[in-house]
Amino acid sequence: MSVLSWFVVACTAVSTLGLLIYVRVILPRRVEERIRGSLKAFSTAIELRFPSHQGLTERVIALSAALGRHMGLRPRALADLETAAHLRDIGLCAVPYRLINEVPPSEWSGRDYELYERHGDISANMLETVPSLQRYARIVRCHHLPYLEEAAGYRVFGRSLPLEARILSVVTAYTWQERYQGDFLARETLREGRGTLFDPLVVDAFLGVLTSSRARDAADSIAVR
Amino acid sequence: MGSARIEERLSRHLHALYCLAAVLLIAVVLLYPPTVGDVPTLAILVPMALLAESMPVRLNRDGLRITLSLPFVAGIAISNGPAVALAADLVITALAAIGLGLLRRERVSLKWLGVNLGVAASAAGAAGLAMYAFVGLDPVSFGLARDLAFVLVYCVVNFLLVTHLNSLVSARRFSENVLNGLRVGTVGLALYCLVAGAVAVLIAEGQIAWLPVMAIPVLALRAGLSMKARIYEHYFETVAALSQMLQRSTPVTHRHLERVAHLAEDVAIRLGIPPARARMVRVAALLHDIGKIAIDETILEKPAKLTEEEMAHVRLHSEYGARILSQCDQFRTLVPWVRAHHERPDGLGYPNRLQDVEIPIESKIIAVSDAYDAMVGGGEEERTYRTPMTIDEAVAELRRCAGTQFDPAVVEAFALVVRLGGAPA
Repeated sequence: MSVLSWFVVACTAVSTLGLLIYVRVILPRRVEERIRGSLKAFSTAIELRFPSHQGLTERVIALSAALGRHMGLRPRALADLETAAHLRDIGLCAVPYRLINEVPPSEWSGRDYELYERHGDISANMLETVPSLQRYARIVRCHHLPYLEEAAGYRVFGRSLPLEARILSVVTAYTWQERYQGDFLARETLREGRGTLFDPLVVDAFLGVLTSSRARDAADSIAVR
Repeated sequence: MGSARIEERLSRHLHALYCLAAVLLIAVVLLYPPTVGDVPTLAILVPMALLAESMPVRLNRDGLRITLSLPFVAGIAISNGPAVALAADLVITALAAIGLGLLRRERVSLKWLGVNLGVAASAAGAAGLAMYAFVGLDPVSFGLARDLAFVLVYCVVNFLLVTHLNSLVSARRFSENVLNGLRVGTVGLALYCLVAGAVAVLIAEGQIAWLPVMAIPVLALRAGLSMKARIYEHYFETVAALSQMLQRSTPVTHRHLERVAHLAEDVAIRLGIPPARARMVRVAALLHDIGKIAIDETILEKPAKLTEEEMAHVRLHSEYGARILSQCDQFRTLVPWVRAHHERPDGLGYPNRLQDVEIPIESKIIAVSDAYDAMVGGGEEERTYRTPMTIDEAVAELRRCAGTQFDPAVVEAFALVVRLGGAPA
C-alpha cells in the first residue's frame, strides 16, 4: 500500500476511535444533563409559583428512589420514576395562584377541589404534546388514582396502573402529610389507605423503607410547620 | 402559509427534481456504458449499503430522515463505474423504503419514495458527472482525487436538495435550514467523507476483505447523529412546554408570544446581530415572561391600576424567569437577557436598576417588541380594557419614550421593521 493510502486509513482509524468515545461516553452524558436540566426548570417553575411546595419534589425523588431500589426496580425504571416525579405536578400551573397561596388558607369549595384534582390530568395532557416526554404521561395521569375502585357493584383493583404511578401515589401522599402532620400521622394515613387508596404491596415496602434509617435522615423529627 | 400552497409549491419543485434526475441519469448512462466489472466488491458493498439505507435517522418532526449509505455507494462507483452505482443506489433506496414500510406495517408513500429516488439519482448522477472530469488522467496519481470528487459532489448535492425540500415542507428559510444542518454536523460530514475516502483506498489497494470494518464508523456516526438530533429536538420541546405552562397559568396568549418573538428576531437581524444569535433572541422573546408562572394571575388580569404592593409582586417576574431558565444549561445565554428585559436606559428599571451600557442589547429588543405588541394588541381577546392603538400611534409612543424607557437605536430599527416588514435583503 502506498503512503497516502496508509495515511487515509490511519486517519480513519484514529477518528473512528475518537468518534466512538464521543458517541458512547460524552454524548449520552450530555443528553442526560440536558433532560435533567429542563426537568428541573419545570419543577422550579412550580415551586416558585407555590412556595409551599418548595423542596417537595426533592423529597419525593429521594424517597421514591429508595423505595424503587428496595422493590428491585431496574435502573431504567428508576430513572423513569425520577423523571415522572419531576413532571408529576407541572399541571399545577393551571391551578389558581390564590387557591394555594392565600394566607390564611381559605375554605375550598367543591369546585376548587375539582380544579385541584384535575392537575394530574392537565400535567399528562401537557406531556402528551411533548414527544420526548410522552411516555411519562401515563404515569403522571395515574399517580393520584385510587388503587381500588368500586363502581356499579364491581371492585376494580389497580394492578393495571403502572407500578411507577402506584409508587408515586404512595410517596407523594406520604410526603405531603409528613410535611404538615409529621411522620407518624403520615404513616397512619398510608396504613388506613392500604388496599383502598394505595397498593398494599407498595405501602408495605414503603413502610419498610421508612423504618430503615437511611431514607429517613431528613425527616427524623416531627415537622409541624 | 396554507398547506395547500405548500403542496402546490412542493409539487412544482418535485417536477423540477424529477427532470433533473432523469437528465443526469441519461447523461451518466451515456457517458459510462454500464458493465459489471468487479463482482466480489459489489457482493460486499451492496448488502452493506442496503443495511445502512435501512437504518434511517429521524432528524426532526417534519419527518426528515437521512441515511448514511454514501461510502458504500461511492465504493460501488469506484469499483464498477458510476452507472452501476446509480442503478444500485436506486434499487437499494427503493428496497429499503419498501422493506421498512413492510416492517413498520405502514403503507409505503409512493410520493416520498419518488422523492427519495429523485434525490438519490440526482446526487449519484451529478457525482458521476464530476468523476468524468478525471477520465483522461492517470488513475495512479489522480485516483484518490477522483474518488473524493465523487464523494464531495454526492454529499453537497444530496445535502442541498434535502435541505431545500425540507425548507419547502417546514416553511423555514432555506439559509436557516442549511445553517442548522451544518451546525448539527460539520465535523460529522468531514468524518463521513473521510470514511468514504477510506473505502475508496481499500478498493484501490485491493483490500476488499476489510470493507465490512467500515460499518463501524458509519454506525457510530449514525448513533451520534441521532443523539444530536434528540438534543436539538429536546431544546424546542422544552421551549414549547415552558411556554405552555406560562399560557396555562397566566392570561398571556400564544399569539402574543409568537408575535413578540417574530418581531424581536426581525429587529435583531435588522440591527446586524448574526442569524444564530437572532434565533436565540427569538427564543428569549418567547420565554421572556416565563417568570409570570409564579405571579398571581388575578393581579395580571386586573384592569385597574395596581397598588404599590401589587406592583412589587409583579416586578418579581423577571428575576423568577431568570431563575427558572438558569436550571437548564441550554438556556444559559438567555438568562441575563430575560432578567434585564424590564431595565431602562435611564436606570429606573427593575430588578437591578442597570445603567444604559449594562443592559444587553437583546433585552432592549425584547422590551421594545413586547411594549409595541401590548399597545397594538393584535388579538381582540386580550387587553379588552384598553382600545388598541394604530401602528403609527404605537411607533410615535415608542419614539416618545426613546432614551428614557427604550433604547433610541433599537426603536429606530424597530420602526423600520414595522414599516418595511421582515428582515433586510
